[in-house]
Amino acid sequence: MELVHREPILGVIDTLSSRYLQGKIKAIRTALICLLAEGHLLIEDIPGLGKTSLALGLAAALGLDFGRIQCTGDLLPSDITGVSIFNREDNRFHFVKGPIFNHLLLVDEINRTLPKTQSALLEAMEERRVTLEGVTYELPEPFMVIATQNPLDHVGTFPLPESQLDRFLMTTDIGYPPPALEKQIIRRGSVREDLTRIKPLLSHEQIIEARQFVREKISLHEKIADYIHQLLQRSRDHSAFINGISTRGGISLAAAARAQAYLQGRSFVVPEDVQVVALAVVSHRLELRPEQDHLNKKEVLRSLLKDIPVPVV
Amino acid sequence: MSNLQRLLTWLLYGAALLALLPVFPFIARWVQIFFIAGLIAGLLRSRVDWNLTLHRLAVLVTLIAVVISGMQLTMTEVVLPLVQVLCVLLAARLASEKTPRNMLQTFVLALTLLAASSLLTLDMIYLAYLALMILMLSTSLVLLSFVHVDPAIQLPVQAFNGLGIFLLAIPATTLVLMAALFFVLPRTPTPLWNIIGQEGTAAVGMSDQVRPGSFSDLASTGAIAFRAETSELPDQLLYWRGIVLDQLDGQIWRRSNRLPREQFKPGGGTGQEVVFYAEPKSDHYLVALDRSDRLQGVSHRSEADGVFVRQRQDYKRITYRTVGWPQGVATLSDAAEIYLAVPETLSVPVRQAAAAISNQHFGFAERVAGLEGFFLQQQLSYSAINLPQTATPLATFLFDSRRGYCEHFASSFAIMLRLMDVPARLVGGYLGGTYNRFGKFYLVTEDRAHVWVEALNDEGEWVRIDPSRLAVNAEQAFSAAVAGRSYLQSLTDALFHSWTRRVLNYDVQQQFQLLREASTRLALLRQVKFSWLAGGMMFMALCGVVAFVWKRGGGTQDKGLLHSYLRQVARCAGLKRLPPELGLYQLAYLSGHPLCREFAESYGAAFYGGKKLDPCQNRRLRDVVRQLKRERFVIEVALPQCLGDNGRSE
Repeated sequence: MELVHREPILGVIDTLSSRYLQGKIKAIRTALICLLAEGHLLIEDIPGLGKTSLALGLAAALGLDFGRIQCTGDLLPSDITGVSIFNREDNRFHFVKGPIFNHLLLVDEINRTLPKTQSALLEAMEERRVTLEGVTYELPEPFMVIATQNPLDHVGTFPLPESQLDRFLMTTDIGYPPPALEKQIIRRGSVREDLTRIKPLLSHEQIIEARQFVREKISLHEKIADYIHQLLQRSRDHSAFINGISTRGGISLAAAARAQAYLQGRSFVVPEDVQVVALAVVSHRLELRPEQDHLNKKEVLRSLLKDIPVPVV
Repeated sequence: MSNLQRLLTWLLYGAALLALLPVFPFIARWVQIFFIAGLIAGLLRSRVDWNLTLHRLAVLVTLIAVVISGMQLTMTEVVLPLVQVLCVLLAARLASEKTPRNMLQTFVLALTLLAASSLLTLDMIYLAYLALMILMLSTSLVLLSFVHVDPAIQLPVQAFNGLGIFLLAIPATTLVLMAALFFVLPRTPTPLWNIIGQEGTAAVGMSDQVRPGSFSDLASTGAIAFRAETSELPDQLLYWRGIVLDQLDGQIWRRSNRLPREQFKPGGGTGQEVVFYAEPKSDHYLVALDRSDRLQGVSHRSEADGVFVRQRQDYKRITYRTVGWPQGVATLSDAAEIYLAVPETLSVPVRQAAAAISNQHFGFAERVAGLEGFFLQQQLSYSAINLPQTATPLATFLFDSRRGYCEHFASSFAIMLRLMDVPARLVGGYLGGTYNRFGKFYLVTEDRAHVWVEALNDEGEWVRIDPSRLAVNAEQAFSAAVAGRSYLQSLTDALFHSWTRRVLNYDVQQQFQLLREASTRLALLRQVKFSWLAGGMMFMALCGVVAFVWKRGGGTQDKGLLHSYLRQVARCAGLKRLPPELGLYQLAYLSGHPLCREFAESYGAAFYGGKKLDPCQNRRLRDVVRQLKRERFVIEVALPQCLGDNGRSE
């Protein structure tokens, strides 16, 4: 079966990782899986590792409108969604769309803003529309949020509750580039300028079609569903976690695995796809017990994956 | 140790214990201990440092044990020493290392031991042992063939499911075949093994002499004397006649060999046909319904007083057929002196009591009635426990303790009849029996042994009199004896009876009979519906083929292919087994081998894509597995690199 628009999408990954965002291929792949699986991405890392560059590069290469919100303690929901302004000439209110009406929205330091604002944003992400003063505005299609937060920040932050974290399909960190690459980047300086010059490789329609293809045409065998369910069950029975993975977590895992299979050039999901995306999809949905806090959540998850035999017959 | 090897080891111990179970009560204590020691040594083997000294010591001990057992071998004692040698060898093998060769030897020894146990005991439970042994053995042999090829083989649980059906099919077929062979294989009229004679045990129950007062207690054992197949009879006719005692020496009734001639006239109507299945016993008197004139099935001699004596004396189960005439009359045609002899030493009170009755009553009927009156008047009670032992047991019984069992009653009654000039004799046998409606037979146990009296009336005919019925508690004493068995007991009785009849006593005669019956049935079958039969068989064969094809399509073939691929990859990488969390694609990636990649892509596309491998692909993949045999590569086991984790900790 031909995988619709896979070539240009691979081209995006290729272009970005080889020329503009070197050493960030895993983060780029994660972002694209999120895009294909119709989810949102949360980047957890310290500032200055190229989160914004990643978002900008993606927006440019995919030909998407880009909006950015820098979250602060006094940011209001209307600063995101937009406000109605009275137009004296027309003698009526005129709606000015906020930054959320972009295809790709970068929400920087989401944990710095008020819960009220957070929740308005996350609601819009989930519903993919905004209702203001009785009028509903559909968000553009495709729509994807890339939120960032600094995991080391504690003062003046409002950590997202689990229910809100659940809205993000995947989380990822960026990580430091390898030393040689980092020296090269230091020598060459920021690539921010170059990013604006990237020519779009895909149209909106192509992205929408690719998303639809991933959702509908990539098959997920019963045994893979078993495998995912087993992971869910084990996480629920595990003594280190307060709660297990929710059913939504399972659905997300399947969706992300489909996108990964698509990127790998297969029209069916294999257990390795689940293994690849599992950490990114699941880790922010799980919370360690206070007494197990010293454990590394990702390591616990890896050991869980190691314990589950893959279905091969 | 792989899971297969572990299973095999358990099966090994299971088979050894199963073989030991039937012979355990027979073998000497030291052999029992030796066997258990061998078992424990085998279990502890992996934990103990088994060096050469220890090994030589074990061999020496085994040799000594074999020699000791062997030395007990005599012409009469063949089986038990041999069984003990087998036990010793089996124990030694259990303690030895579990190599496929040793395991095979252990299984063979276990099977031989179980077979040998049938020479010691052949209870119905043997059938269960045999079936279980065959199941274990066939399973073990199949598993052994796996372990022999690859000692570290690790089968996933799913593979066992597939194997399970196969493993059950073999013993099932074997058992069916065995059952067929049992009926078909030629038989000898008597079992060949009977040359290895078995010693008789002491007789409990009916005995060839009666000596009232020699025991103070009679223990009831519940041992089975015989089973008698017949229609149900009225209780008062259930006298099983065994032996006639006519001579009183002092206090002991014996059987003389001066037997006056008698004539037996069967009564009207047809005789009561009874088939006896007698348990092994040491005396040679054959029991029959009182009173029978014909006996078939065992070589015997009919004596004048209606007693059947076996010609050959061997300790085994026998089956014979008699015809009884409950209304029959035996007439004495010779002089009756020997039935009137009374020992000089008889105590005076008994003589006086007899004289008193004979002075008042004349003629047979009156005297018998008078004596019965005397017994009733004495208020005698029937009891088999706590009886006084005196020098004059009869006088004590009649006038003093007034308690006794059938020997007291019959003996004193017969003596007093003789004192009154009425010829009398004792008859030993069994009274009553439990009728089993499932098997249509009477079950008669040894505790039903009984003694009664036969007296000669004025016409010279023998009349049966049972003086025990004159006891004041006769009703109670005999109703207890006739007490029925529970439903379950009857059922097991019937089962054991048919086991004895159909299996243990299955001989050449029965074989011929079966053959004849089968041929008549077959002839009937052939006449009626041969075409139907052929059609039915064709249909079943067709169903079988369809099921087979269905099953083939169901992926078992793919499963086998995958397992052989995984085994092959593990071997190529020098791993004992591949970690189960590794998927096919990851395996291909880790090995970096094009053949592995080809397999993963082809098989994965079929399996995860929900399709089936077409025959062409299947052939190609088998070819891939074959080609892998020559390959070697390194696999560093790791899960695929996860997204979302780029080295910064949380």
